[in-house]
Amino acid sequence: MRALVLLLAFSGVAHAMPEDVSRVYGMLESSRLEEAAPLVDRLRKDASVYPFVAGAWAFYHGDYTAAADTLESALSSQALDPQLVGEATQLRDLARNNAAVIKGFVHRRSAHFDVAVAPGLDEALVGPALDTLEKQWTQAGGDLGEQPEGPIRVEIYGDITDLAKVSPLTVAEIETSGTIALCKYNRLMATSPRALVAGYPWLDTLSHELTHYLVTRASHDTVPIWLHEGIAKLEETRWRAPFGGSLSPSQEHLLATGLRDGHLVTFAQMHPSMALLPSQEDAGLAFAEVTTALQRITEGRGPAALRRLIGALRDGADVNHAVLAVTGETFGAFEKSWHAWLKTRGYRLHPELGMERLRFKRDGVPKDDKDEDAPPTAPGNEREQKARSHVRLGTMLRTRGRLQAAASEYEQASAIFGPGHPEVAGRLGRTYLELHAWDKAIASARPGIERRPESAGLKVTVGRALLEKGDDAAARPYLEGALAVNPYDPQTRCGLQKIYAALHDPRETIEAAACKQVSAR
Amino acid sequence: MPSPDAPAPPPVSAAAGRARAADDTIERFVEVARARLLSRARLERASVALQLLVGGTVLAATLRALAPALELRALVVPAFLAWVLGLWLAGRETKQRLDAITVAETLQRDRLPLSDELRSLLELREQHTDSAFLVLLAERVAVQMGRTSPEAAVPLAAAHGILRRTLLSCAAGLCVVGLVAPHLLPDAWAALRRGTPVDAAHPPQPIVGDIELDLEPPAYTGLPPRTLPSSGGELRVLRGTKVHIRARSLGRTLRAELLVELDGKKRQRLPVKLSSPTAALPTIEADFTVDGPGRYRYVLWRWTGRRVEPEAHLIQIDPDVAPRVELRVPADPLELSVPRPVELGIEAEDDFGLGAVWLAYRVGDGAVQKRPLVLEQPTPRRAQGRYTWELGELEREAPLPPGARISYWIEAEDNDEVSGKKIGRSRVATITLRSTAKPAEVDRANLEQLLEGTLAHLADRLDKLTTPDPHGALVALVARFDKVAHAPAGSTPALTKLATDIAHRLDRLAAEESTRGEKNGDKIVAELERDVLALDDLRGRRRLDDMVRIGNEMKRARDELKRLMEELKAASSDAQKELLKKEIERKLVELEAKMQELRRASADSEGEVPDEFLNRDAIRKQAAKDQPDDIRKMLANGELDKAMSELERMSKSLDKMTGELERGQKSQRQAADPAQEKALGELENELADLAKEERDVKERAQQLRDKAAERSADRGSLKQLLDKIAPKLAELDRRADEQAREGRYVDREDVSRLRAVAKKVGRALEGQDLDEAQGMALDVRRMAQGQSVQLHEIVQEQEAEAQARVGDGPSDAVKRTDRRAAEIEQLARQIESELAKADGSRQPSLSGEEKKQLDDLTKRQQSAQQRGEAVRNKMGSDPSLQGLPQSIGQGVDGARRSMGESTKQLQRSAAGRAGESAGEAAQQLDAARKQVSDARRGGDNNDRSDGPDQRDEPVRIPGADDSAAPKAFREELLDAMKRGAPKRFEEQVQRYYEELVR
Repeated sequence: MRALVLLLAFSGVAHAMPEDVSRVYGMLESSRLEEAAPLVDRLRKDASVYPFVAGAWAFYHGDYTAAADTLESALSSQALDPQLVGEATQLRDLARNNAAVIKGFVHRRSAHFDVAVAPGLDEALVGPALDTLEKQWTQAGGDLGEQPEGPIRVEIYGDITDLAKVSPLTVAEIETSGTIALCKYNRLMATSPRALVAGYPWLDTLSHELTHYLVTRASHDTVPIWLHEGIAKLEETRWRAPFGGSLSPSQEHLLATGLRDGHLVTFAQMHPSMALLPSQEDAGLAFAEVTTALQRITEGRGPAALRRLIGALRDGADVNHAVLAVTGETFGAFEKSWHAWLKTRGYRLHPELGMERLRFKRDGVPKDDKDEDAPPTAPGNEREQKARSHVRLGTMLRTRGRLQAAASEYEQASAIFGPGHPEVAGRLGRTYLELHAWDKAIASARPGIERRPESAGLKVTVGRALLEKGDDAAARPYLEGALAVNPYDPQTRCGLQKIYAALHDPRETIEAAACKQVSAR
Repeated sequence: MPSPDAPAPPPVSAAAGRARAADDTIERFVEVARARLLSRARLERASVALQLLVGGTVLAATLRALAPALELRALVVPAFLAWVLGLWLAGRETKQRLDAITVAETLQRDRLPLSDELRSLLELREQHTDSAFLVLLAERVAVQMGRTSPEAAVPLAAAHGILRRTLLSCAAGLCVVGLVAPHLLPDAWAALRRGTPVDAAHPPQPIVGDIELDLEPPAYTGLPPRTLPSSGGELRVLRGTKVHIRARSLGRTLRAELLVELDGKKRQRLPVKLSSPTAALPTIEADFTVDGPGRYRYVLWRWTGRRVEPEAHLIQIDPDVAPRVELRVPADPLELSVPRPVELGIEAEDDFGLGAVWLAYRVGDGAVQKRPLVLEQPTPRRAQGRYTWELGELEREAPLPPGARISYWIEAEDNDEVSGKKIGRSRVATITLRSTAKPAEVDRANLEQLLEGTLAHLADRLDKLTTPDPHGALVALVARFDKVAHAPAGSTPALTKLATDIAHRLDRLAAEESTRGEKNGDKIVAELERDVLALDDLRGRRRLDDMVRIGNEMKRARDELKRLMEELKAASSDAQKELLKKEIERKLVELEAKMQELRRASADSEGEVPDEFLNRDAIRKQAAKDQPDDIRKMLANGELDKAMSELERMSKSLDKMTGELERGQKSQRQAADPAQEKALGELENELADLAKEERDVKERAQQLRDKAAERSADRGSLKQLLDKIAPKLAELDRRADEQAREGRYVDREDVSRLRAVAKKVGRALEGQDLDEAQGMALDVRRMAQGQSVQLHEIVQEQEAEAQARVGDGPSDAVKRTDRRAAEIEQLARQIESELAKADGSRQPSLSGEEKKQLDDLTKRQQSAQQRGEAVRNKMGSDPSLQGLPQSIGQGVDGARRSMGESTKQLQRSAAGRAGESAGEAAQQLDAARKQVSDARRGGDNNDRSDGPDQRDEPVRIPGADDSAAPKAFREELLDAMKRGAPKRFEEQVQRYYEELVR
């Protein structure tokens, strides 16, 4: 499961503060810095609070060194309001860590964004990231009625340990919850896909976090967590898809299972954070639920419903009144009608997909020939065990270069499992690719994409086979889909360069540089 | 020949010729006279000397007769001096040379007629007067001499007469001496030779009496000071003992001295404290420290003169012998394929106190290495325990070469601070590493070859393109399997079995293919697929087994670290601390190395061991988290407690990790061969049940024995019996101890065994087990008898040799040892007899209820025996149990025998012995169950005791658990000691009990 956690809900101001400072701090937290500016100016004369406010101001503007220095001198001056000492200390440490982590980072700017990445391989992320964020700013910003001028800062860290250093999360919490990106401190923070074995849908994730940013600003941070996550999930694909959102097959499976078993996560259970739900299955189910709840709210009403909902909350209405205002139903009635609506959707079970889990890299890439984006296997019946034996034999033969024999074994497994099975499709497709059997590669991998649309490996296989066949147009969506998950595969980047060049797409330059960069690894 | 030119000699005149003849005559005469004069003088002096000697002797005899107490040497010495003086006088002139003038003077004094002229002639010649007168005078003297013989001129008859008279008077004098003091001359002779009088009929009167000795043994012995009252004065003590002598002088004494003569040292005159010079029987006291063997005696000054104790008191040294060290090993020589931990049983004993104990070893002809051992030390005199020697540590710097020979022994030093610490050594045992290649490597190589070969053939069959002769390739593959299946050594049973099965199946398919062509191609592919998976499974199991082994090795190193840290905490001396720190560092290095090995193994197992059986992530995290370096730093900073806490933390996660590994291993086996896993599980359960049953039978049998003994009040009689034989046992133990100390003609280990068994007689009686006591007594008697017979044969043999004049005959020592052995045998017979007598009176006569219980127990045991047989049969027939080590079957066979013995004893109503046999059966079954459990976990144990999967399993000493006296037994003895013993045997029994609990 890819958990995208909004920390706004449970961050808050940990320490009691003077009222003026608290107001400023709230504005900074909800990324309304331009509103906070006059207040900050007013506090300039109060020596007991201003050094703290100035430090926070610098921190939320991304000037970490200045923030750390200002807060350090404020703490050592003895003049600081004692109520602020704790917060100032935390903020100073965070600023120091931040400064250390992004030291040497490369900044690239677009109209509304400033993306910072580590020099080297991660520079290949910048082009697609800026492109996607600008698209999302346009689409989601339009949907939500919030399009800040920016620039909105985006930091992409090379490792989850860096993410832990610049956020309130620990490495263990990140690994356990699958948290990979955050929207906090007036910026978007994400982990580079190279920190994970098979990458992750990093462009959707950036879009998701940007949506949080926009919702927070638009609502003045008044939206409850379930609604926040629901809007972000609904909108995260807007940069590449029309409004309305969709569920992945694995999310569909979770929801279908929940409905079948009568076990759904309530909105109350989602508070204060999705990350605090008892299991990843529950968290995955909760995300599926909120997505559908927002689909239900916006069904027939379009994005305007979101704007009305957020506006009502920003203006002081509670969530019951806000839902009533938008849907005409009380919250309880809405819940009932939504549950009834869910049952009419005909969600299907996909037991072979298993649970989506992020696999973090440590000490290099695993050595096995495991299909990197295949889900973990579970013991099955005798038939499945037999199929798995064929997969095992196929892998043994493939690692010894006996491709034809390996394909034969995989085919036997596929015959038992059925086409597109996650344990076979990728392996068989890649084997055929190596055998230059393009059509067989496409035929093997394509059914797998339908089951697991987030699989970069399957998309690359199909994309590359199509490219080899000379069908660039057909290859393009597959390779772009692969780029959205794993931007380091030379087949993807070089393939896209070729396609964009043929189409005279301006992104050709970006992909050419990226192709060179990732090929040189 | 003269030269013709030389002048001719002058002519010789007649006068000159006469003169020369005269000179010759005179010269001859004087010479003869001179000789006779000297003889005469000797005779005269000899007579004088004899007179002096005899006179002196008569005088001494007279004095001896008048004063018998007079110091003999005081008489003998003057007499001897007189005699020497006489001899000197007699011989004095013989050393002079008489010149011619002196001879002439003597003749003149004797008034010889020619002597005047002879003297004149000689004196004138002396003055060099050369004249015709002298020539004439010479002729004249010569003429006269021609008329007189020198014998006549110097007669000897008078001198002979004097000598005869002197001899007569001497004889008379000696007769007088013989009459007056008949022992004088023999005594004098003895006194001159040895300084002690020899007079058995009249022993010299003692001059001191009532000797008491206060002995203070050297401090290191821990022995208390003791007093020997009414002693004869002889000492047999340890070197370094301080002696305070208190005695009474038997007469008024002016002053006293103690003469101490230690062998090889200068005689010491030590002051003696005298109570009163006027007291009739004053007390005399002296102190000295014994520093070697020798003697001492008193010298007293009395009014009558100086008196020396006639007989010296002997000082003998009781030797502080070097520690006795016994080493028990699993086998000697022990042959191993790979270095494995080896269990050593060690027992060291010293007569006073033990110091350090080491394991000493050398690899080949290399330098001797020593490793300190920390053993349980129930008393300062004894150390015992078991030590598991991690032989693998010898490979830290470099692997031991195949065929390496390791000699090892145990050394123990005593605490002798006086003569210097002595080191006792055990026998030398050896370990040899087999020179063959390591079985694990052979096994792995075989497995890899078969897997790759099968996979390649499968690929060829699936490709249907590359191989021109698939059938020929299949036949060749079958041959490869067949070779591994029938190789005499190298592969483990699991691989051998798998290779056999696959060879059989493929062979059948190959035969079908040769007749039916390619029609059965699919069957062959399916078989090959199955075989590849089976081989790959086995390889995966190996990987996991290796990791489990490494995990266990880490646990052992961890346990060792814990122990060392605890010892470090308790250590008091800096030297000991330093030693322990070094040992801890070695263990930390070992732990680090194992951790790395585990990480490597985990990484290497990717693709071989499925994730469902192995959590590599957990291992990686564990390895990252548990770094011995932290402990090292804490120790360097002196934070021992913190280091121990850290080790404890590490320990828990290590336990968790090894637990997970073992669970994975079990799951993997379950998945690979469910039938075998089931069969092994059932076998393990059955063995566990049987062991429990046997423990229960043992307990019930012992309860029955105890009940019967209690109810029949037999306890009292056995207690009396023990009290009765305890002195005999103590005496037997004492004599056996002497025998062992004498040591030259007996095997000390035999004597030690005898003593140990004799002690068990006492223990058995304490435990109210007369059967056991009788059995042990029988053993003791047999052993004593054997030793006695052996010694007697030696004595007889030596006597026969002496008779045949090929030897000196048996020495005193061997005779003494022989006698002592006979005495020990006699004591053993008496003990045996006493116990046999008790047999009739002690039958506890089981009650009706108890008899019923005994019958029930017999039936239970018979049933258990049948179950044991069923288990054994199943092991022989169930194909899933075929690969088990033979030692498991042997263990079950042993248990069956013990169960049979137990049944027999139950039928004889010997509940005690039946319980023991049941206990033995339980132990054997437990051991077999553990082996089955190991086989389930490690799976591939083969019959070699040091197979690849047992590398971490120590080679144990068979039956080592029987050696130490249990704590409960000690407590029982202490209770028995409290109950007391017959008065006159109190001390002996006390000492015996003390010895038992050591």
